[in-house]
Amino acid sequence: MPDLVKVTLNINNTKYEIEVTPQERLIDTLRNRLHLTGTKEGCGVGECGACVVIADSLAVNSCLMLTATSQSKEIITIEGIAKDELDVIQSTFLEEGAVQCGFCIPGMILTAKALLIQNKKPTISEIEEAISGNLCRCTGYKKIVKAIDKSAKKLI
Amino acid sequence: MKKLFSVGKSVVRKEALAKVTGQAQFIDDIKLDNMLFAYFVTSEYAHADILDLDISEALKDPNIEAVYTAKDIPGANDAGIIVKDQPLFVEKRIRQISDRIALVVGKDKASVLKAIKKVKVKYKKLPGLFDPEESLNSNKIKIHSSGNLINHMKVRKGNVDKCFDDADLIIKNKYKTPYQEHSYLETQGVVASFVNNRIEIFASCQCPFYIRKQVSLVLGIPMNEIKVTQSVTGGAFGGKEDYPSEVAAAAAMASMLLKRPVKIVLDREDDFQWSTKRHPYVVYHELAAKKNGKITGARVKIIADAGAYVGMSVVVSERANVSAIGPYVVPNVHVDTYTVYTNNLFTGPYRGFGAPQVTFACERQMDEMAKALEIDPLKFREINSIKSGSTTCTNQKVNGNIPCKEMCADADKLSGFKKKHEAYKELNKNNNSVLKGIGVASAMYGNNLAFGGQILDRSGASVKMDYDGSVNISVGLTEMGQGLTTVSEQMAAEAIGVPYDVVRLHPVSTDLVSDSGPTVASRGTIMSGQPLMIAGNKIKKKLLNVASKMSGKKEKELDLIEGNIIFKGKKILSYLDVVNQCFLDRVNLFADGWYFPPLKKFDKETGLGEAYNSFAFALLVADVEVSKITGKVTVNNIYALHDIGKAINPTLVEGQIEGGISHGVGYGLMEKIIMKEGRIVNPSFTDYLIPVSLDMPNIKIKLYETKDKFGPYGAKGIGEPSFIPVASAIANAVSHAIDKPIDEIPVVPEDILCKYFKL
Repeated sequence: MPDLVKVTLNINNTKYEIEVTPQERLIDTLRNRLHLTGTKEGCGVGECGACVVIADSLAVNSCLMLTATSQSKEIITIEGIAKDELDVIQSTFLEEGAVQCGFCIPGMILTAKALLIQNKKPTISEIEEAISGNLCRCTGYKKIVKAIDKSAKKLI
Repeated sequence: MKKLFSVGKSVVRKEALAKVTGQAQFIDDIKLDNMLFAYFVTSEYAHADILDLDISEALKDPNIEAVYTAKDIPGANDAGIIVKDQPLFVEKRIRQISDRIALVVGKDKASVLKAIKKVKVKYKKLPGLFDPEESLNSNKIKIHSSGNLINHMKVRKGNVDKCFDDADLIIKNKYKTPYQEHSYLETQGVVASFVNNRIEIFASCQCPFYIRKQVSLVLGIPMNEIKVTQSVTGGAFGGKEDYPSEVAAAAAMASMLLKRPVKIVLDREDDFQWSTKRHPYVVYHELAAKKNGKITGARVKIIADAGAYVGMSVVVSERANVSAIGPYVVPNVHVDTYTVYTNNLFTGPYRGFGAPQVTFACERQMDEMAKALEIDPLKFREINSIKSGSTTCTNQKVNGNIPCKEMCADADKLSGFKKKHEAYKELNKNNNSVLKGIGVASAMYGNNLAFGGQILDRSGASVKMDYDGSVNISVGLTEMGQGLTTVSEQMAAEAIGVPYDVVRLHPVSTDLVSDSGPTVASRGTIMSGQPLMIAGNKIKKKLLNVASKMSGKKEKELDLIEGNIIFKGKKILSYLDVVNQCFLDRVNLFADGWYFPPLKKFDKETGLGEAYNSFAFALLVADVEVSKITGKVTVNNIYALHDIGKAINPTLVEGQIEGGISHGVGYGLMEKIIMKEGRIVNPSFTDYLIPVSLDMPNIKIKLYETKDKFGPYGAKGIGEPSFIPVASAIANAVSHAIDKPIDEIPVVPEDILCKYFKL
């Protein structure tokens, strides 16, 4: 067993001081050590986007990120985006019927959230481009794109 | 018709709340105390004999609890769902690379994967068969002792030879369709837990009842000692119909022997390599027609590659066999469907179930015939399409509201098909970079299980109302994302007479409801709705009976609508008051429902008779452009016209159609499995491309509410019809654009450039 290293993580505005292996992926720390299982593993090699989390306002695949290098970053997972009530993106996904099996949805919502942090008025093409790294096999993306577009408009 | 308050509304799916917050527990999110992880040792070769198996090195690892092989199975070494040709663990003869040799069980995944490398297998490699036509004709290699032909199905209608002799025109072509990987975002997985001397299983699956049956056989224990609960399932599309039973049987065995919970969740690459795929087909399709545009006959030969084991292949072939003619009136039909063993990966159910493959051949043929007859393709379909009173290719008379001709007219209005079909030809003459094309395809889908599986066509439901007025319902069908939970809640609410908000359906469990068969064949809405209506009506009757006593009005004159007891159009009581009285009167507000459609008569020898209880119809137009420089096809617009019977929830119906189109864009243009000696060489989303947001066309949908007499509130299925004609319409559009007949999908850019443009 490789030696554990101490890390300090900032996840969903909570500080965690934990020990992880040096080569540990962020997704495994989230899911196995912190029990934040909302982050999903669909491929493990950065192809599907199901494990997307927000790191310093950017959408990143948590299966491609080492926990040890996440220390200085503000990480947001699906468990962290609702405060007292649902985030606008979450509630709009529900209203628009954008959720089917739901496995891609945490990654999809966080990608959308990161997009709307960077770009408050994205065009439909910009939304499609932003989520082009998030695979969804159920919806055909139409209602997801519409939900993100509507969320953006609600937030203005 | 009574006004509906719940059915027909695009209500928000309550079950999705847990999915947007990350609270939904998918299979890999389930963690039990002392849980072990297990994984399979599979074969290095597609055809071989095991000479020696040595597990001793793997067992030396202190993190490894056990390595199980065929010898350890307490009951039957059996994974065959229909035919007993497939072992759970192979002892000697390997027939496909995903054959399981051992199960390694250990403390964690990393240790297990390490130990798998220490299992030593000595093989004698055997020559294999990887081409189904070669397999059919091979005398040298027999994959199973019964031979390589699994079965031969037929349709014999009219006098085909005579009609071909008398034809003005005959079009004869060979078509090939590819493997397709379901690519559900959540890979296959199971958790089995031996507690209180009983096996409890959670599975990402389409049919908990199949799993229970297989586990019962493999463990040699009665079915009531096994509880299977569906976990939140991250997509299935047919891929989680049969294969989960194999994973579950292995996990259950390890759990029972070790008396600890055991989890198996597949990595993506192994999920590609081990689970079933859509059958690749070779279809020889001949059409005969008269100059007046009437089709007179069809002669079709279908060869389906089942891979190394039957699995569900014969059932898939059954649907293909009766779907090769489309929704057209063809008086003389001759179909031969051969299902063949090879040493390729075994194939199985996938959205459309054999119909998409033969639809591609049929719809390409329709276009080639229209072209030869110099008739517009949409007009040609209109001339030949089925109507009320027509017979299908199996001589089954169809009655009622058949919207095919109307769809042809509407499709033209929606898409401008006929105009564009002419205009694009002119446009393409003068364009050196982009070619435009428009294509159409139809489909006719038999709702529910075919005659062959009709004994399984029954389903149960229960409704339980608590004294706070909230309702729990149970059905035997599964939610895989399609929205079964929501439409079930809507239909139950309607039947009882209470608001949608108070009804909840929780995942299906074998403890809660009788075996209701698999959630396949676009039967979910139908088979959950029918028994729910029966049970819901019983609860309604109980409530009205008590309301009658409370109000002094006759029960017959009362109704329960959206939570209100109605007398002569006015609310006289809230259902909550009645529920309270039921509690005081000790009335059991529980009821069950059981439904089965009438038996169908079908002759297997001639392939004639009632193939299905009813049919759903679809027509789809694809508007595409093809880059002459890169060979890339872009689908700009899809116009999807669907006979839905009754849309229980229009938003969910649209979701199915849009999702079906994305699978169709992939099937038609992108998704190509490359198989070498029975092994997939591109088992990843980098090398096997499925559509992303940028690949999706604009979509226009038109629904036809034709009210099916076998459907709850008139509903038909949509899961598969939404997909079946998509790739065919795209292929026809591409053929139109490049003015060359497409004979194989997917139409990838390199095919456009090398095969069709011969660059």
